[in-house]
Amino acid sequence: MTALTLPDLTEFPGIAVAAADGVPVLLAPREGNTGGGIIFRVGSAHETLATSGITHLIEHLALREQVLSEAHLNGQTHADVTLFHVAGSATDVVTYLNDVCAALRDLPMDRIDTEKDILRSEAEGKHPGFGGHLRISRHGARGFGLVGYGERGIDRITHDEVLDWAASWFTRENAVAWVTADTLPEGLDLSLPKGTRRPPPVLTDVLQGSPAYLTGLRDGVALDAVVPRGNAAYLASLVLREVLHRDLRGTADIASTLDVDYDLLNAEDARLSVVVQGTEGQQGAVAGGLADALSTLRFHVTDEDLAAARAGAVEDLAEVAAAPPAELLPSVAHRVVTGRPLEGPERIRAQVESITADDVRAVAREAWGSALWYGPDAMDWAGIVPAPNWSEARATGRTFQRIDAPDVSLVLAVDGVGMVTREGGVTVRFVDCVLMESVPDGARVLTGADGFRLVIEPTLYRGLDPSAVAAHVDSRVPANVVVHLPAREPDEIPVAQPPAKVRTTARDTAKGETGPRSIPATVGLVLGMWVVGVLVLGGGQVLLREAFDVDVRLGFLPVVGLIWATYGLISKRHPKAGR
Amino acid sequence: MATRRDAAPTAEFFDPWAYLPDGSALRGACEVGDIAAALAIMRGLTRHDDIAAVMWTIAGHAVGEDPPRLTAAIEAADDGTPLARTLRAARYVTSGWEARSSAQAQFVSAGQFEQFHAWLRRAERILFDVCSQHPGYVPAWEVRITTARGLDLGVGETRRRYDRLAAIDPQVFAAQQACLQQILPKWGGTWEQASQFVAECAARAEPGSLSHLLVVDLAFERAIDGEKTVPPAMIDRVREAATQSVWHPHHTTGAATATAHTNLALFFTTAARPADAWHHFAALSKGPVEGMWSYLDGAEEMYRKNHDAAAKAAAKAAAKAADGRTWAPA
Repeated sequence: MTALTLPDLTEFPGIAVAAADGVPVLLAPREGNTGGGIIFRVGSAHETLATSGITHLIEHLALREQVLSEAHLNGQTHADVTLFHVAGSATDVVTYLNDVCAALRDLPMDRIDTEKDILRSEAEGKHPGFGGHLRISRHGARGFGLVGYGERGIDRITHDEVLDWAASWFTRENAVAWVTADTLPEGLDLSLPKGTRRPPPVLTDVLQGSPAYLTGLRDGVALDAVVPRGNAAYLASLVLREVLHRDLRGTADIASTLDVDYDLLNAEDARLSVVVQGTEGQQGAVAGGLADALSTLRFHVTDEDLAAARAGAVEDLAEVAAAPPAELLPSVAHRVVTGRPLEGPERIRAQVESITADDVRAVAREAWGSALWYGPDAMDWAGIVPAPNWSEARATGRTFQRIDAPDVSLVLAVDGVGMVTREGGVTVRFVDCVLMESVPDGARVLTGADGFRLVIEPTLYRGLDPSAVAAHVDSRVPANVVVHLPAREPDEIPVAQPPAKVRTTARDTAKGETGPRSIPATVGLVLGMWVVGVLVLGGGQVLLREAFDVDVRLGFLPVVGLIWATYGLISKRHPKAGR
Repeated sequence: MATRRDAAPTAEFFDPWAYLPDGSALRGACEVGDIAAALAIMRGLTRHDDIAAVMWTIAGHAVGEDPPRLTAAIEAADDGTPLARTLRAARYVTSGWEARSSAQAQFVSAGQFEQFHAWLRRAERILFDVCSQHPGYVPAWEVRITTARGLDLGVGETRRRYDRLAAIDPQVFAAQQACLQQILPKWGGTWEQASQFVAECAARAEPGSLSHLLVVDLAFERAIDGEKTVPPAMIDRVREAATQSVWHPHHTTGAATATAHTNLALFFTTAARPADAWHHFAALSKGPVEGMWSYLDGAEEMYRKNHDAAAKAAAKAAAKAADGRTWAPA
């Protein structure tokens, strides 16, 4: 075994570090019972769409054999790490950690189908919501975008993939453990396969320009920005919170809830996110108020706001400094395994106090420039561009006209498939296909790495033999991204309707809205909601349950009502396209 | 339904420059396209209602002409200052309303709406940046109240903008009038909200402030909305508002005073109180002012007719009063 380099924890007095079986173990005693855990640098954002859920599945399998009557134990799979932790007697902790590692070395594969069923039922009723929509729209169907899809790989992950994933990610080099004791407990066995310390999840960005906006969120506004990681960005998030509390809650009754968060993404980047729920009738004011607040911070940071933010940060750091070392073990283990600098609260405090209004303004400029907005309506008036509704490139190849919507065509190209409309096209190239759902009747759903998704219902296209689709795509899409779903009932396979009359006139003009293409705000609204609708139609059940024309009926998004409303207007003229 | 600023003046009969500070110099500057000179005059103004009156008059001057010389001159004079940028945005707003026309929404074509919104977005982009860089700059917030309405950003957003402005200066009558438009039923509000806003502005109004007179806008809006007769209580309320504002000793005559008088004259005309109307017609010594007369078909003719009728009524009342004095018992 090569010598293990232990982390330098000199800025965390009271925390010792030892090694067990090549895994660093952080140690600090505490009164009462004993706590312990182990954290791995692997999370859902390390997966692909076709393997999504594999880490969570392994976490479940690793805990399956645990029977500890008195101990409180748990496992959690996050986007960037997976952890197992326990509290109980010293013996409980050793037994738990030993069992987890033993299970990870030799997973109980006979339990895999049962655990898959458990994960499916855990997923029921959960939905990625607006946060998932933001993630997909920024990151696509990779890395941090995967959280928007749910565990779509569960239906296809193989035994070999599970074993490979465990052996290459749940390794001693990719783990850090902790025990609330002053020395390594007797009998601890953290033997794990040899591997390497893993990097953070890939940070992808599929926006074709920013700041960008999505529409269709009814109750308020959410914002997601990527900023340079650091204490200036952290402080900027606190300043923004101060400003928003004053502008939207203090002096006005615009927001009912307000959250500002700062999360690390990798060594260079962090996410600044804001979620504001509007009070009744104030959704428009939320968008305006938030846009004004963030934009103004690019130019003006008041001494009072900076001082208040600094005071909040210093208070948090003082709490950390005052906490018993044993309580810091999980968070220090998280820092170690994710490679964050091991700076103690004193040093961070000094840094925070040196941050100037200029530093905060610089972060605000970054946040403004990278922001993805999600609100009720278009935000072009603030110089924000619509998030892409269409792929950058249109597919060209054999073309099939949609029977019920003649201006929509399916394209089978040599290198991919596409849907083409007058407004734009959606293309999924085979090399970029990260998931294909397949049913025996010939329908296919392809998801591209950029998050665009294409539903192919062969019965809806003139001159298209159902077997032709399978013949074209099945051999070109890599087998390891294909989910085979059971056959559908005959009444679940859509039947082409006669062409719908195109309605281009006589819209309600009472509020000045005279046509979807004549008013970009309306176009944005309609297309935005359309994208939302298709986006969230995740899961194989789409193909099972849904006919092409009514596939926006999943009731799990708050915007579904609006989608229905606009759907009636454009359903015959727009493809099943979008993310 | 149009507001004052929604349409260009109908004729020279109403001279929009007559009551502006340095009005003839401003007019001259605009007519030769010397916007730098106009901006220089505007920089001397300190009261926000004066700035608003001048801004909207310049913005509405020769709007819709082809080719748009004045628009080009205003753009060329944009030196990056908040004032020049705001004037430019206001010009875009009036250009947008010109494209839209002042008709009710159902009579505006899709193409008109497209142009309207395109102009307003251009304006709002400028104003958004001005307000980010100069959050205390009232004239930009004042124009943003109108862009919010035109862009359908909602009653809440328009009101938020007004509140931001009022936090800096709570007595800007032009801003109150602009905000009231949004709160009216025709733009998405209700009569109750509108009445409440009018009452709020009056309650916060300083003695002599035009803010007392927002009720005139409300009363006239109700009248043209189909209210058959103006309720006597409303007549009393408007008389009191006039006493508290334009007739109050603390009232400082500004660019908006004349508009207030012409609107009061219009209100009392509508309320069939020509003798009351006459006091306000008579206060317009430098000639007729259009104000909300623009709502009426044949505004000029209506103004002339009612002006003359008011004069007669006032003369008659005066004669009667004089007779009364003669014959009054000792």
